[in-house]
Amino acid sequence: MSKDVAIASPSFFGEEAARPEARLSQRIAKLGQLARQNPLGTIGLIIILVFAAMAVFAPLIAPYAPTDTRAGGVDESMSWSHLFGTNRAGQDIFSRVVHGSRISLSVAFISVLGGGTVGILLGIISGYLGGIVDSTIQRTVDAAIAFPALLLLLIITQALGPSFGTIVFALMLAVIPGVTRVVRGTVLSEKNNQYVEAARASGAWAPRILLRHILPNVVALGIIVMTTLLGAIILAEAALSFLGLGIPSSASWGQDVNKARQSLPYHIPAAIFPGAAITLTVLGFNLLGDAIRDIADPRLRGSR
Amino acid sequence: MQTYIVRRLLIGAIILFVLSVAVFILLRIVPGSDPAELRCGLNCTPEGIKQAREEMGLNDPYVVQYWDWLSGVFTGDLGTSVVNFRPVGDSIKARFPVTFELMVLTLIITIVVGIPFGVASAVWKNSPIDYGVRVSAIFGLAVPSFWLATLVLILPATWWGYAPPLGAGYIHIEEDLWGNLKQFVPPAAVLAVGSAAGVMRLTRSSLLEVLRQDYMRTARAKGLAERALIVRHGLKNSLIPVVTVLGLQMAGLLGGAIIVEQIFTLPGLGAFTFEALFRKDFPVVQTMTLYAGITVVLLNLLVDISYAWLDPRIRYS
Repeated sequence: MSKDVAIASPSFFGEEAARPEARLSQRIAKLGQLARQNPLGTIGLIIILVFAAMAVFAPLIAPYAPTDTRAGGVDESMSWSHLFGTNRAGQDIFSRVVHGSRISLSVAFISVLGGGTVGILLGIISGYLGGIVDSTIQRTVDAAIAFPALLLLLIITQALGPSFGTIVFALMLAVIPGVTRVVRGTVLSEKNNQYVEAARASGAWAPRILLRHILPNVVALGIIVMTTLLGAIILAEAALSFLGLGIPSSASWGQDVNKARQSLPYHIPAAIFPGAAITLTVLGFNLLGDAIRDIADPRLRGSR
Repeated sequence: MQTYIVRRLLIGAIILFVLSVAVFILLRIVPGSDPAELRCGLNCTPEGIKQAREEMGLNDPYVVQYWDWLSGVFTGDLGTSVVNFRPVGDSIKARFPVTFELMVLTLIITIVVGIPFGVASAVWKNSPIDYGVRVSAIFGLAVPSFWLATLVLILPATWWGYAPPLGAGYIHIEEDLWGNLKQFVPPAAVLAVGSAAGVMRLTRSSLLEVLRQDYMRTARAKGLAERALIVRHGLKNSLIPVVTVLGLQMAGLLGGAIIVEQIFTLPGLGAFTFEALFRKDFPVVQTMTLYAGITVVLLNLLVDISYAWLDPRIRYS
């Protein structure tokens, strides 16, 4: 935590701004050092960047449209014209995997960002106000954490109908409790710090104390927790798709695994590649999340 | 200890109340899900729907409906499915053994694989074993169970023409042990991959922490054999976080059961819940939510009580 504070202090930027070229090379050297110290985190970051690039440039990378049923024959095996082969519908599996990254990544980022923001706010409110508000929020969080997440997701998406909005909403609900709990804990300890007491003594009103003094300290922590949740959220979204409650879309990894399971006789490539894509993406996020957590806050080490 | 348990159960009751109200409201406010239509059947007239709504009490205020359901639960009436008119309690009784066996097998595999490899990984830190364990744990946590289950089904079928008994109903363990194991080991193994990975990682980090403690050096100094040292002093003291995670994992297994019971066509509670969800069978979903909640609350309590046994310094009052 102290490292973050040092980087954010104005004197640090002021001093460095005078020598921009020194700052840049210094930064790169620092990044290189960080990467060498955390080889697994670096691998994770590379995996995520590859998949992110795939999502952004999907139409350029994929040789066929994901829904093109005349891309090749039925159930072709791997070849140069169809890297991962084709599926029962004659669609190019590689193109579908490339396009499938779009839904997975965008849903995960949006719901973790949205849920994380709400979680941070709820955590601050809960921790700062205390009393009945705190216990209400905490009991609700207990209930949400205690309950099997997949069942809750299924109930919500089935009740509201599967669409981009409802699935993001349901996944946000899955993110909120964990973030809320961690942030609340930090707020509770920050609240009693002398600098908050000093601010209060000098007449600062509650929102100002929250915004200026407490928020910056908990946001970093909230972001760390959010990174560690990204992999889990991708898994949850894929499971929903697999069970037929995913976002209706032209290409989805979870749906493709389900389709491969249901079409007899089995065609192995159709089942292998979409699932491998999910595994790799989650692996990337888990590795990065672990590394970020270890770098930023050793206290959280092994918390997952 | 008793007051502690009572207090925990009270908090648990509050949690369950919040949960059941939330699900109750959610199931009712949403459009396009009218169980009265289901009850009424295919050739349904508007009058028929009206009558079904009346019979099912759907015209009552929500508070009355909730109260009806809750008082039913306390008197042992868990509601009636609107799809097949069977009492939910009977279905749960028939399906519970399936999910229970799945959970027990998963727990056994998780412990048998997770803890020894976690210990080996910590004891021989930075050895090839350690790296092997860590890498497989990282993968185990990232693999989606539905994909693994699909592969477990597809690969043997394609390569060797082998398939586990699908759609055979529940093969009772006392009638046909071998058939039962063929039915339950693959799904349990699939579910155990993720939980064993978590347990391996946690056992490793927790044991490494304990091995650094002063009392370990003392025990070694007094000449205790390495094996006894690690099992008696090291492992026991490092098990608390592991037990917590095991409890959480077992609680989350109902979610996993939904997936694998679906894929391996096991007639358990997971498949039951999933079918009910798809058919908008309110009473079943409502009761299964409560069931899942109760399981979680009790498991968490069990975990906390086991702390006192694992670490005598922990006393509840």
